[in-house]
Order: sequence, then C-alpha cells, then structure tokens
Amino acid sequence: MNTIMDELKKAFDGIRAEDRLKSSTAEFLEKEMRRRSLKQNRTAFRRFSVAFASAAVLFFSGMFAYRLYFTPFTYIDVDVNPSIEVILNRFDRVIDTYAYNADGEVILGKADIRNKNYNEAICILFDVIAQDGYALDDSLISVTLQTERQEKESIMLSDIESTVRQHHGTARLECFTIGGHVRDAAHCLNLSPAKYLAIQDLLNVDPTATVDSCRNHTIGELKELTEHHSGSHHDAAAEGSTASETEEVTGGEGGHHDGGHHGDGHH
Amino acid sequence: MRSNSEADRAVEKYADTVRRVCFMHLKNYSDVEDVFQEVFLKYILHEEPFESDAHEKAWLIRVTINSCKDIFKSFFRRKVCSLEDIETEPFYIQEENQDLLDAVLKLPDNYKNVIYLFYYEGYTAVEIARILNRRENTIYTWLSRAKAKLKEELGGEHYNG
Repeated sequence: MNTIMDELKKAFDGIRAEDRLKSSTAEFLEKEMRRRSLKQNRTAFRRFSVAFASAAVLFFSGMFAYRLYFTPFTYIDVDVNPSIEVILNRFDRVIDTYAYNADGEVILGKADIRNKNYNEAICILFDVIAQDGYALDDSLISVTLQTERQEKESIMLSDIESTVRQHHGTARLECFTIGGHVRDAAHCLNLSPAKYLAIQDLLNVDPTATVDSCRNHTIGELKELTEHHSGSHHDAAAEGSTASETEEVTGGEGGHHDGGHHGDGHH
Repeated sequence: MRSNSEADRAVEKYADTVRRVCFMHLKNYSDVEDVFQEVFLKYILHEEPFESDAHEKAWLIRVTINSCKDIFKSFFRRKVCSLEDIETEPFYIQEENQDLLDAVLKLPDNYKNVIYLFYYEGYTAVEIARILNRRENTIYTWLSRAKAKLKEELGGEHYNG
C-alpha cells in the first residue's frame, strides 16, 4: 500500500504550470523590465537634467554676480607724487588699484583697501601717504574722479575732498571730475589724469618740453614750470612758433579739465 | 534588477513549484496569473544573491504563499468577481488523485502548507518553520493536526502515513 507521501507526490506531480501561464508570465516580465529600464533611464536623464540645469543656473548666477561686482564704474586718481588709481565697482567698493610710479607701488603695498568703501579707502590711502612723508604743507594734492554714475559725481567729489582735508588740512588740494577720454589718453602715456593735464598745460607754453622729461616731476613742479614759461610762451606765440609735443599729448582729447569740475581746493 | 535570461530561467525552473502552491490556495486562473506575475516580478527585483538553489527555491515558495494570502486580503477581490474568474482550474488532475487533493484543499491554509512542504517538497520541520516564519513547535502541531484531518477525511484505507 502506498504511503500518503507517495500518494501526495504522485498527486502533486500531476500539477504543472500551463505553458500559456509560463509564456504570459515571461511576456509580462519582459514588458515590465523594459518599462522599468526605460523609467530608470528617464529618471537618470531627468536627474542629470536637473543637476545640469542647477549647475548652469549656479554658474551663470556666479558669472552674473562676478560681472556685477567686478565691473569698473568709478576711477579715482590721486597724484601727490605717488600716483595711484583706485577703481570702484557700482557699489562704490574698491575692486582694483594701479600705481603709475614706484612711489605709488610702495603706498599701495602698505594700504589694504581692497573691497573697502571709497571713503574708507581714501582715508587709509592718505594715512599711508602722510606716514611716508608725502603731501607736506606746501604740497599739491591732485585728485580726479571719473564715474559712470553722474548722479553721484558731486557727492563723491565732496566726500573725497573732505576726507583728504581731514588728513592734509594745510596742503593745497585740487579735486575735479574728468571725462573718460581724458583718463584714456592719460593711461596711454601711463600718467595720472591730473599729471597728464598739467603736462599738457606745460607743453602748450614750453615747446622744448617732452612728456618723458616731465613724467617724473610732481604736479606742483609742473605747474611752477608752466607759470615760469607763460611769459616766454606769449612772446613765442607772438612770433608764430608751434609746440609739436602739444599735439601729441592732447591728441584731440580736449583741453585741460575738459568737461570737468574744479573742486574748491587751494590753488 | 536581474536580467531577462535570469527571469526566463527562474520561470522555467520554478513555475511548477509556484503553480502547486497556487493550486492549494487559489480557485481561479486569473488569480494564479496575478500571483505568477507578482512572484516573478519580485524575483527579478530581488538583487541580493541567493546562497544556493535550495535558498532560492525556499524564497520563491515563501513569496508565493504570501502573495496568495495578499490576494484574499484585497478588498476589491473580496467584493468583486468577474466572469473570467470562473475560468477553468485543475483540468489536469487525474481521477485517482482527485480524492486526496480534494482532502488537502479542504484543510486550513496553514495545514495545506505544511503538508505540501513536508510530504511533497521534503522539507524538515525546522526548514518549514524558517520558510513560514513560525516556531518549530507550531509546525509540528500543524503537521500532526493536518495528518489527523487527512486521515479522518480519507479513512484508514487510503491513509497509511
């Protein structure tokens, strides 16, 4: 007699998965795997797209912020004898500096003015200038301002004047605005705009002077030379002589203080 | 996710085992189809490797039993029955086996499982306890009661186990 185990084995052996059940299951699995694989690819692509878009947004935001912050808007040029240019962004913060001469380099090496507001920067700069023994009582301090922000021009000029006066109350101060073309012309000759204009004045009255021979003079000295030659220039002009250097320096960029505004400093 | 060839191999190798478990628990073909799809889908999504073929088979049996239970838990299935559901069942059962299988099918679900796993698949009580996630003593109890019920149902002439 068969045991129940044999009976059950025999009975259950007869139960088998139908072929159509196997094939429909295989078909379903194939479809499901394809669907899931497609979904995974889509998800991966979507994730990549989102990551890429986020990175692009961050990159362009960064670029925009960088450009916004580091685009020059205002140029303040200081000439004592150290000749220095301070470049400001639209937020009136220092983004760059430039020394026209070795003295200027020494001053900038000691004055940490990067990212500072222009008032604070000018304050620090003139502290260092005073500490290094420049801008004594009889010195002439020239400051020029060129800005894209016309509406703030007069406020900035007045701020700079009062800051400089706080440091050098008795020195002579000329503080005025200039046009961009004057700054460009001065830069071509590696001169501060104030010195460029002073040399231009001198060349008008002294035909023998050259830019290179004047380059190392202070503005005060250049003005004295100009005054000194004024008399002889009038005589020469009467004789019809022309200074060839004058043409080279002015270069059609306009005359002294072209479109500018004189501060009420000591002259 | 497992590959297509792995899925095909599993269907070919374990379809009969899954079908036998379904036979004990499900009464209509569409439920069997659903369980088949669910079980083998779980298989291809199961990424952890199996220690052996025996481990793989035990895993599939456990998943099949759970899927069959889930079918009856479904509110929709409990309340709705389509015409398709009335479709064929064990047309392959030979007449000589009919009484025995009928007796097994009349057993409560837990008893059916232990009878099938113990007598047909040849698992020990310890292995069955692991598959069904029950205590070993519980398995012995179920086995003993299931045997008694079968004896009662089939009579001494048929039953000699």
